Amino acid sequence: VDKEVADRSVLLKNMLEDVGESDKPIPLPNVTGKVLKKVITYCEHHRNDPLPQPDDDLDDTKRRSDDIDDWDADFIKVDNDQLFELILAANYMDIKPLLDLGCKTVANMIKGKTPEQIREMFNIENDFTPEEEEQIRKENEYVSLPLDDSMMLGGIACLLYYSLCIANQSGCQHYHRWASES
Amino acid sequence: MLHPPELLLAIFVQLNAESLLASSLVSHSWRESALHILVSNPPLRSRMALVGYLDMLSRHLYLRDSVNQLDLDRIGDPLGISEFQRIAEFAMPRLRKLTLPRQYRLLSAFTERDSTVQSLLASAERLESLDCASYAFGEDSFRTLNDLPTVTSLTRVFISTRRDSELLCKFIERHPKIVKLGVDGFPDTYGDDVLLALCQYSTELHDFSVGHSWNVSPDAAVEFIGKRGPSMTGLSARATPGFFSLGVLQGLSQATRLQCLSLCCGSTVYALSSDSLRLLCRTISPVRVLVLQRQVHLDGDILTRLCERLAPTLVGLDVSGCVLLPEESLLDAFGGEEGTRLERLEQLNLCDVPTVTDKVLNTLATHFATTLTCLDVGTTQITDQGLHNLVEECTDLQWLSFFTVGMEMPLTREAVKRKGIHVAESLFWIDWRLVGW
Repeated sequence: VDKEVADRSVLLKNMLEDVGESDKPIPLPNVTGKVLKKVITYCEHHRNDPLPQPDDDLDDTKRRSDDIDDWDADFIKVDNDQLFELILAANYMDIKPLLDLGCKTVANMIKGKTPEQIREMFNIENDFTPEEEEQIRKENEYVSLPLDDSMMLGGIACLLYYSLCIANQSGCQHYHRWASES
Repeated sequence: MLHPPELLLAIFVQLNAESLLASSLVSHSWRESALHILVSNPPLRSRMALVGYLDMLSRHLYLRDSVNQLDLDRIGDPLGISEFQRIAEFAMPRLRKLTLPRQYRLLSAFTERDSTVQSLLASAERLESLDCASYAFGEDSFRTLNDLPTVTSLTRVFISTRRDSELLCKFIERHPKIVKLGVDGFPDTYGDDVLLALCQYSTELHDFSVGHSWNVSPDAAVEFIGKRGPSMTGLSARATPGFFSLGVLQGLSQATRLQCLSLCCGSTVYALSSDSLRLLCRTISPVRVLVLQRQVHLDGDILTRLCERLAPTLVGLDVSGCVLLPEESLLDAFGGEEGTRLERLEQLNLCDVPTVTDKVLNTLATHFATTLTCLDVGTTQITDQGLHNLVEECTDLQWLSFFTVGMEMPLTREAVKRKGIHVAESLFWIDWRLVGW
């Protein structure tokens, strides 16, 4: 693997800087060969991408789970076990874009599912006691109710209001742009 | 399944409130992580998400009792009064930390808006930390804010006062850790007391803006700069003659951390003299943003000196209304030799600079094709050809204004329409209000 690809991993980048020019292999005890191969494929494809900045986490566009590009979506089509191994490897090797991709994929799998479906999908044991379940059920008795007509109408009204708000919004940006700088 | 728990959190921050609630019912560890986000960092990026979240709080008492933080400034949509009423009812009593949204995202008349914010603050029972972002308090909401007993941390406050500087002084004394303060008011607002209170009590202040025509004496302004200058990163004075004194300009040499300096004139009466501007060229730190609106004595020689000093750092420049700037100096500033050219420019305001021509636009297009994001060229001499070249070359332009008052630009409506629509895909905002058309 050439240095440009290895540098996508902050862990490897720091290690390489520490050891300098060397032919010795770098041990990665927490990553299996199969997963590492997959990680390298990802890093090679993204070798020319800008490196993530420290304040990227503050950028809310980075938190959208519906903005996965086609190559990444195809790359991450793996079984659940491999998906979690990839997430753990990305976390260990400090490859933030791969970690984000894995987390977004899991989040997309969770969306719209009931707790039972989530447990089944990820093979998670229900460790609540019957008493706790009863307590939680009482607290959340409205959770699984379907949307009624009034809520649907409310949603439509919100959309209309939102459209009007956007229409009325113009004119403020000019002032704001320079005011925020000064 | 996924350890450490941070990984679960990294997944959960991608979820909406309903999915988080479902996740909280999966297992103990999922419940802990999901509820942590729901009460401390709820995923509120749109108005619809906020409406859904407030609906959830209204239905689930245990969530309502636990919610402790809300960041309304992350919401990209405008907010109405009804949302604020629901926040006041379902979230505010338990909140410990609140970030208010930007002023322009609150769509209603100022009086109504201010009373809404006042009601919001009045319903706070535990609020400790308030970040007011760019919300400008009116006097009533400010009084309520000042009376909140539990608040110990206030950042980024902007207050528009009438003539009551006493209230503001008490506020400053009570909140010594405020980091960003903006004050605005009427021309006869007496501001020395406020500056002296900031000198005496504020320990963390690093960004201060004083607005329109405040009656501030040079002595108080000099004392303020001497005491607070070394820690300041942002300073803005708009038509405030006390801040335009030689003592303040000399004191700026101590403000070595300054990133943004704005010295704007409300009218030409208070403009910095040529000597003052030359002094500024010697004392100014390598700022990233410089705003010198309507400084009518800013000439080509002074601009050249500023460029020599700020070339490596300046990303935003506003010289709108500086009518003495010759075309040659603008060409040098944007396209001259390395070391004297502003190499990193991203945002530029040349509105009301009559010497801005197609030649200047062409120079910008040549040297800032991939960096220029924001440009104002209202009331200038640019033509269709210059506009054409600019929008063809500057691929990252996101904001472009031709706003013109009182005269017609030699630019046709058709060209603006055609290029405005055809302009680079990244264009976010185009302002083509031209009064003559």
